[in-house]
Amino acid sequence: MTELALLLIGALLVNNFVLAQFLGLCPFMGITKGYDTALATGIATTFVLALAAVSSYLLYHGILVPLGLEYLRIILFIVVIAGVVQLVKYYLHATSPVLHQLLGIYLPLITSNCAVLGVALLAVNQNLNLLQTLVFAIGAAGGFTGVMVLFGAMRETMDHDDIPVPFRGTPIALISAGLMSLAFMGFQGLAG
Amino acid sequence: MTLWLTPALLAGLLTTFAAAYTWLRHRYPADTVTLVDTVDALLPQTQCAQCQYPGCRPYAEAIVHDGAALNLCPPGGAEVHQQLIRVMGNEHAGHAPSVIPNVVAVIDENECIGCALCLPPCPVDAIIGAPTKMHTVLTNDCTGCELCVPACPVDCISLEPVAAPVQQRRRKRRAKRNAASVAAPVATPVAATSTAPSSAATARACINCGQCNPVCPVALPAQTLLQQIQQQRLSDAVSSGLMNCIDCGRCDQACPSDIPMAEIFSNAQWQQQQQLDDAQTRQRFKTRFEAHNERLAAAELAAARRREERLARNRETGRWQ
Repeated sequence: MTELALLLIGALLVNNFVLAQFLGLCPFMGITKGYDTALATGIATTFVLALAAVSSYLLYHGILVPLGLEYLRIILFIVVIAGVVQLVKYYLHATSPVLHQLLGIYLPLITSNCAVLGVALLAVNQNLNLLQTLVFAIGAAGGFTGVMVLFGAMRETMDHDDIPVPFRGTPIALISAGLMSLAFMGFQGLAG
Repeated sequence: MTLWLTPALLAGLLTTFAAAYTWLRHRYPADTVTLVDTVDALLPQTQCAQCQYPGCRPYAEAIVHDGAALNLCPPGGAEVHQQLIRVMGNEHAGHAPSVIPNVVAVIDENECIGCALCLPPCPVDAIIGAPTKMHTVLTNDCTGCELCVPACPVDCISLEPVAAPVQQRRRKRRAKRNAASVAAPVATPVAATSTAPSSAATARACINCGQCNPVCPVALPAQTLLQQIQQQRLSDAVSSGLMNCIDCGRCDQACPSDIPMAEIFSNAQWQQQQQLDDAQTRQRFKTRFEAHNERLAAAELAAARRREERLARNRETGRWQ
């Protein structure tokens, strides 16, 4: 139990995917213009990450290891993640319009995100079991969502700040992302 | 062994997904057609706005969401009214049995000057004729949508009941002419295009088809937004959610008139942001100015009080006596 909690906190804060491992930077800089879109992307990412981690775990330990084809994992993970997300997207579209409207366009955008593949690969590399993989994915997604929302809210506030003209827009966003990353360094050593 | 295993595995995976997808499509049949889509498909798509809604899709939305009457579509006529009743049930049928006039447009050939201005507005291409030649209306195709009436510069088009006696035409036309001359200035769609950005060389006027609404990933009423921006009603646009636009450009692709909607939206967002910034700067200077004045007044007051105290003390000690 403690181990799981450590794993969760580790993925959530210490090894935060965006600020410590620098994965998933494209949505981090791209879709955080406002709080709402950042939150929607975060929720969609949580969904996709959990799905991707579990399906790639099953693929790896169910098929690749018995056949001795571990070296194929990157290609096959991409195929499986893309396929599963498309299936789920279609299923949502057909059965739950509300959920589809909420996650809608973000699902396919996130599918090709490095954070998703990163979680699947890292989970396999660390030899986690199924439950641990799930916890790891949810932790990573929670960290991602948290950082997205924080940064989205921050950029919304910054839009109204009196920033020197040359720094407005992307430059100040990059600088604040760097400062946030420095701040997250403070979590190093928190959970091993 | 692994030589054939790898492609087999890939092919197997892909086949599995393809099969799963096919099964899913079969189990949950094609794209979820909403009730609005169904109703919209029944409407004639002439976008004539005679139902008092801006276009066919808005009318369909009003039928589904606000329980609008079903008998408001003159181009659709009794046929569409019956189909709508079949879809929506009788309780929505409307107040009167049918207020749909069964009319067609008629061109008075004696007065027609052959300007051809009535051809473009006709959504069903029911007017035939070339410039400087006399026009006429194909009675079978005309839906009686009235869109050609305000376009005629000499008011030679009138709407007549189907197969009306010829003798009545002239009298009806005169009544219609009086009504049309009042309504005509409102109906000209020129104002809508003039505020569009200059880069929109290929853009045409908004036809109110509402096709931009369902594609918006953040569920904005794109068509309403566009109209509010074009009418310079920025604050209304903001309350309709302008600032939530993520500039994804899906409305651009959906727009049959090639209106660069995303560009218009982001320009409006920028304008709104600019106004906000200005207001904030003014507020900040005002606050600073007032605080400065208050500080000066307080300092003066404190000095006066100290002086009073000093004088009182001196009076007590009798120093100045």
